[in-house]
Amino acid sequence: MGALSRMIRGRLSFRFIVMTLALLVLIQAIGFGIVQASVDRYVREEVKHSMTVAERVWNKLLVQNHQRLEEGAELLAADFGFRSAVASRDANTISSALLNSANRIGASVAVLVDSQWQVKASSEERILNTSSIQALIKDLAQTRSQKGNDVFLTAIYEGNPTQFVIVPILAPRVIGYILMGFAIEPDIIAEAKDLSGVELVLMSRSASDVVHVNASSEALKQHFLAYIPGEYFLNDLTLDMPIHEDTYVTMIHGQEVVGGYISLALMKSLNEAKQQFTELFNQYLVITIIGLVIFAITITWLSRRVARPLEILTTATGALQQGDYDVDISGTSREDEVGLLARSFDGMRKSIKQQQETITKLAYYDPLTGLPNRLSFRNKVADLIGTGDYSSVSVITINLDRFKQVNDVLGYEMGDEILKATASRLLGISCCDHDKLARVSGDEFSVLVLPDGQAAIDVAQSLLEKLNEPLEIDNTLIDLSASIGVASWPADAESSDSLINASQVAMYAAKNRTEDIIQYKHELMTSTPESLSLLSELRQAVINDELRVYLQPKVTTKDQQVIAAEALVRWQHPEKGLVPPFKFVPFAEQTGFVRELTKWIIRAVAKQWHDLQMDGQTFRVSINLSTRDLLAASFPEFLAKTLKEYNVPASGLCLEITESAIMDDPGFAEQTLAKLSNMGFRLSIDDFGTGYSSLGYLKRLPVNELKVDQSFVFGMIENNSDRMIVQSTIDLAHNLGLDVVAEGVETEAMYQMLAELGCEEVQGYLIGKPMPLDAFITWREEWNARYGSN
Amino acid sequence: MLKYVKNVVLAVCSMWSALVWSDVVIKVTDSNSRPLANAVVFLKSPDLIASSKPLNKAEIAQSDRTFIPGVQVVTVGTAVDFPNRDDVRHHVYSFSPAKTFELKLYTGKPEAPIVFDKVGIVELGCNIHDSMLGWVLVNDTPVYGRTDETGYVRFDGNPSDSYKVDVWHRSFPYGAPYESFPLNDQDDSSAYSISLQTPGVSL
Repeated sequence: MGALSRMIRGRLSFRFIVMTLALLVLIQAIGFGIVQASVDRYVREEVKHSMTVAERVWNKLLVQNHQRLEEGAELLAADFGFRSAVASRDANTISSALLNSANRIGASVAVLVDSQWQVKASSEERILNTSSIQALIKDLAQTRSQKGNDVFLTAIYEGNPTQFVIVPILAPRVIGYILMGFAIEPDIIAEAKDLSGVELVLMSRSASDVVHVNASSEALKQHFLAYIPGEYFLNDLTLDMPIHEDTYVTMIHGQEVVGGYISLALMKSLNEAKQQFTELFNQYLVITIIGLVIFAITITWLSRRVARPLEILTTATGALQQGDYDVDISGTSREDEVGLLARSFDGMRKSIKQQQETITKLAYYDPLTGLPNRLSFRNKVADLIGTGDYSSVSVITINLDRFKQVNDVLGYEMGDEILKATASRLLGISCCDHDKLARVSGDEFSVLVLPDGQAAIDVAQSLLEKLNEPLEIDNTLIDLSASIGVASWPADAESSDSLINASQVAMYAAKNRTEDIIQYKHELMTSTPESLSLLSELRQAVINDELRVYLQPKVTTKDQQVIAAEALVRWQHPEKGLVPPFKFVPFAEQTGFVRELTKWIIRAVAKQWHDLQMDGQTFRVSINLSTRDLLAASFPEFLAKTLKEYNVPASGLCLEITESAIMDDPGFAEQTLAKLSNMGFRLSIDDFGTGYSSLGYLKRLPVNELKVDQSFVFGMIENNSDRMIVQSTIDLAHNLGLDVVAEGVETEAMYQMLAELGCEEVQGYLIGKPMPLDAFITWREEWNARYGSN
Repeated sequence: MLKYVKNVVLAVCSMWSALVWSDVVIKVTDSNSRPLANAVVFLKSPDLIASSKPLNKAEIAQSDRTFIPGVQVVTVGTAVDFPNRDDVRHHVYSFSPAKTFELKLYTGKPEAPIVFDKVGIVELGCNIHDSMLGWVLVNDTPVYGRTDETGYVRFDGNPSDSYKVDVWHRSFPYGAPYESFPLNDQDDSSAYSISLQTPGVSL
């Protein structure tokens, strides 16, 4: 059953067939029902009608009998000889005349009575000896006097229903009567049946409960002889009577008669009455069944014709779903709607196939250069590693230096031209086929190197040489340089992704160190998966206030006064304890989170600034800015707003910027620094001497001091050249009108030397390590107490 | 009918005028003591019976399918003619024991009259016309009368004698004889009362 209902739901054609057939069967069934009901009603009406006819026939026969009897009796009564015999009381003559008459007309009994209803003679001797005859005659006479002379008299005589007539004898007045009785015989019942086609049963019950049954069929006679309900004799009834697997519609007329009861049952077999209709019905049924079978076959064939192509299309759809766009679609040549559908479907298939190819191309190729893109390259590397055919795979990542500036200065169109030219240049190198080269991002290209050719580092070298050749575009000569990172699998990375990543890390390292090519080393990798969780922890740290500001004092060499401090951030991790800055600050710089860090420090310092102030000279607090701070256009505004909020003057802060931070985008850095200088901030170049800042820049920048890198300070005691660098830096600064601060001062010797060289301020463990605010203030009081405060 | 009654009265008067000695008045009632009209009352005594003679001439004609007169009173021995004055045949008969006869289909006058030679009531019918009914009342006294509307009949000028009367009424059933009464006591008004008991005499 479940399977069937699934089939009905699942298959349109099957459902169509079943529904249509069911509808047809329903219509036929309703038709059958209506016909059946009509036939039933019609048959019953027919039966009723034939019964009415039968009843009339029966009555007519009885009337005829009655009339025959009456005529015979009248004939006898009018006979002069008979009357003469009666008048003369000639008993023998009378009896013989009665017998003669009775025989002539078929009467079963003939009796002569006088005017007082006393029996005087009869057709047979035995009648006179019957005791009940006198009582019967009395009853008949009474009925006649009550109902009139023309009444039809019926009586039970000798157990049989008998019609009686009473005729007076005139001589000339009534001198007596002739009574004649006519037993209702089976032949009259048979005659009535022959005339009307209805079965008749005549039942009688005498006063002494003797029951007689006469019927037109023996079976019915036996049926009624077995049992006759009393009500049959008393009422008029109409009922359906089941007899011998047949049903008879039966009308019963019961009545009381002289000497008992009689009842006439008119019966008609329903089966018989329905017979011809049943035959018709069977024929109709056969025709209907044949029609249904033909219909079922036709509708199945038709629906197969419609549904089959749909099923084929469905299969084709499944193939499309699986990505097989070359599947063959049949039925496109058909002229009908199905053909139309198939053609549309085929058109759709072609369109999807085309779109799929376009999408694939867009997904895996760079439209500008026609090279494979990052995704394509990544898949290729993964495939190569996955096959295991190669013992090692290397990836070279090339990034064009200062491409952003080129774009800004020469325009994007030129930038695109340069990229295209670069791509064709790279393609021109023998080891660098189309399938090994990819443009992985804006100004970044990757090359796949397999171990069967040159070593990766050599390939990188030849690439660099090719790229370093001046490029001529639209009559403009352009010098390009590139940073190149090289990484190899499995030495540097375990997977394709990490291999590409490693080569990029190496490339960034090359860029940062302004070297041309760097082979990947594990030390280069700062952003490890561990550091990713660090970022979210760092965000959490800002929110949960886990960061702390530590202050490292700066002292003048002139009079050992604590005049400033450098604010350094520390992380009080709830589980790891105090996290040193080198573990998270470089990472924050890489990810850009350093901006949040800087803002936090500025806000924290601004908050503490007033606590640090002493009477007299303004106590400066230095804050380190990163490249990203400088490049954020909103930074000066933020500074102004925050300082205003805590009522801190700009001159109370010194902003320290590393040389490299300025050199990443000198133009913009210069603008920002000018803005900050105008706002009144003291600006300091941090880690001076490690970068490549040109003196020209230095001259232009609105800075107030230089900070000598601690690496030179460390080395200047033992290394003469370092001392020379420190001395020249100090001299240079002084010549440019800048103050000099030395950091990393750890010994008295260093201090002495710096003081001698004219360095204005020093900071380092010799003076004091970075401390929290409270500790710093305590330390400062102690220091001032020792060295004398002003 | 009136004419017939007048004739009878005239005949009775002329017959008995010489013998008038005293009056006999009789009142006839039915079984319910109601006066009975048109009852025929015969006055009988030995002298009267002795003086009885057959009538010379009597007839019962058939006209318009009716016996005329319907009731013919005759003395014993009278011969009665049955002339047929209709244009159809009649078959006059009687099954009465006093005189059983039949005049088979005839027209005009039958060959011989019927002689009524026994006292009694003869009921006449026609075998062809069942509706025809007539009576011949045969008695051995010439004196008879018919009760009036009040049930009285009067016999004038009769000698004092011990009389008895025979009474008949047409409501008597077939075969019933005369009902006879002796006249013993006459009440003050010289009227005898008799009450008929024959079944059927109740109007």
